Amino acid sequence: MVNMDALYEAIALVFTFQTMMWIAIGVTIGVGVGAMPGLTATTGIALMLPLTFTLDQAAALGLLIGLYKGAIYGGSISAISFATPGTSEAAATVFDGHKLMRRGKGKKALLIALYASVTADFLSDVITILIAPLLALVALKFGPSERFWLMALAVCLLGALSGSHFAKGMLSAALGLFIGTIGADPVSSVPRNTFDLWWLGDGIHLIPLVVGIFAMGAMLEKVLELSTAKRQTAKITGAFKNLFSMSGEGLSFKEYLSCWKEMAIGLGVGTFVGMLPGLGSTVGAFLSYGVAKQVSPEKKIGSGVIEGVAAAEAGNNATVGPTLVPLLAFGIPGSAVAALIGAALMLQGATPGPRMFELFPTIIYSLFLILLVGNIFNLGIGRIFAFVYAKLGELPAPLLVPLVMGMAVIGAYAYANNPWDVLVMLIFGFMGLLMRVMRIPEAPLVITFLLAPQAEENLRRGLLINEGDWSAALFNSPLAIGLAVAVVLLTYVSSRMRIAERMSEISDEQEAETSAAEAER
Amino acid sequence: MTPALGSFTFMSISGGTSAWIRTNRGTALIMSAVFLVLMIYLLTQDWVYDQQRYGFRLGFFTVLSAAAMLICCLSMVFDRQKDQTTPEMSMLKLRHLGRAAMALIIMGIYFIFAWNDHFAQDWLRPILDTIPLTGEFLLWTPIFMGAGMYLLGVRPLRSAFIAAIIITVVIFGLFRIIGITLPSVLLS
Repeated sequence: MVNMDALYEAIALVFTFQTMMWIAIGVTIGVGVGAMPGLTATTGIALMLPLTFTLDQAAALGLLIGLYKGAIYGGSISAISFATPGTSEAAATVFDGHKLMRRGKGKKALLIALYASVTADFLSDVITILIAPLLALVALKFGPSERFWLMALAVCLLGALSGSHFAKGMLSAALGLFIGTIGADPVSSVPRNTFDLWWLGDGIHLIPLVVGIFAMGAMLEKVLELSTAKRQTAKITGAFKNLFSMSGEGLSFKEYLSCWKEMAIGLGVGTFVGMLPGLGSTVGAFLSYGVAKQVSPEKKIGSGVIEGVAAAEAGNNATVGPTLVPLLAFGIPGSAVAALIGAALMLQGATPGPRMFELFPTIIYSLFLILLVGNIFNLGIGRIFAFVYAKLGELPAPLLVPLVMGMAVIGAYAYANNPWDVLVMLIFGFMGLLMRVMRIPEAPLVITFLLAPQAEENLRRGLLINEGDWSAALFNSPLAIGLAVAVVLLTYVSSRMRIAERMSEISDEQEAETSAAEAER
Repeated sequence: MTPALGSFTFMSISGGTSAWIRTNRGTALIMSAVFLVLMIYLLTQDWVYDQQRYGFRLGFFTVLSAAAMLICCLSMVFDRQKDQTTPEMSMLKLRHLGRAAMALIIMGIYFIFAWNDHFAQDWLRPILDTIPLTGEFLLWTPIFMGAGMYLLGVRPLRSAFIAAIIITVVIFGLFRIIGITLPSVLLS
């Protein structure tokens, strides 16, 4: 049932100059972040998250969602232009996109990437808007024990599907749970696990954690790459020359329509993959590309055709909206970006979850409107400035790394003007580097960190209701028992059948093709 | 450290101790030792056993997570991927970690200089007082950023510092616009 008053209020909030400006800024930064190799949507959102507490709800959501949409599309720009995907999501775009570029059809490739991204993104947003409230209605019927097991199931899924090694995924999740227990406990506010350090009494704040893990960790890795690579100097003069010089064959409306099947595949695959915790847009792009290749062998996807670009780009952008479904319906972020958007909502005083539809309908409607409106900005900014961004991808990394590191310090401190947050961010930066080196996925850590207090609250509420009876608190309904069995089965199946490993083998083959494309370049 | 992140290529490794320690088994054994120490430390803490309402002990989730970390690491010692390593790990040397730690220390020093705020109020204050213009974002940011760009390979030196000054002024202005005041002794 639509709450019309809340909808009108959301329309009044979203369609203001300020919110529109922040969506535009978000998309502009996002496309740039995506186009620059080494920066990802997660890094960009982690860096921008501390700034959102100064903005109102609609503006904050506009900035982050705009950035997310822009970054997922932006990765395709450098993938097509230089065969160097700006983000891993765009790796599948290289196969056909860069071949088109070398044939002098770069403009056509960039345009189909943009149109396929926006089309699939928009339609998947509509599906999100239809599905999330229905799932939230179901979730509202869950009691504390069902919610506890649902969180456990989500963590197991994340561990099973993130990265290529089940144990590493679960290790990351366990680390997140451990870090989440530092500081006052969520029910009685008794300090614990502080290692006798007074500045940990308040716990680890989310912002220094995510900025450290995602931004500082990534930049430290870049520092090591740059310092160990053969000494190369980077001249920044001339990088901005010929910004608008890309010429070539454009894209006709008929050609756009000819890719309908690939866009539909991307939409279906991306929406499904986006809703599952742990998979993400990279898997969405590769699966969509693979399915399109199988379904239409006559189109010779892989040989440099626009249909290949459309399938990959529709597949990755179609995950953008659906990745928020588990967050909104169950309060469980399914990806690192969803966790960061959930964190932004918490900073604004709204805890994501099924009750949000009742308690904060204006925020929910604003979010839905921003998801839709963001596509128009993505289309406009991408259409006008794609060629400028293509040149931005040539900016040397040595210029970028100190900038991002400086922004990380500013972000960690600006959030609460607490110097210890900077120290925590630096420590987590080092941990982020170690995780990257060992290929331990970061997303399960951040998501479990966010879920830890909720899981504890639900378990303790269950104990309270059942007067300390643990078995009744954990297994008080057939659904709770079913979810518990699913957790055990999933853990067993994941460790035996190596789901994550097999998923990565699919990507592996595609990566080999990317390397070949780069070598040809 | 050259292999790009996101590449899923893994390699099996054979050779001496230094090669073995880079495998999943080697790193997992080291982590297992660390988590075992953590587990012992936790089990000796009184707060872990503090009983809350209805039999819930305060350390339940903390000990559960430490046990899960230990189990995950031990399973990595014996699982199918135990002899594999990541390309980054196979090339990692102790000096790389030293460089990363140095970069973090430099960022910490940058923060102290640019914000005139610090982690240890008592002993650092007299030292900071002797340094002119601490708390001047517009001075220390271009110095640290320009030096960082130069060290990482931006040439010539002039370009690195010009880029750093431009970026600093843009960041300072943009943050002012959105309501976050960055420290400036000169402009305050």
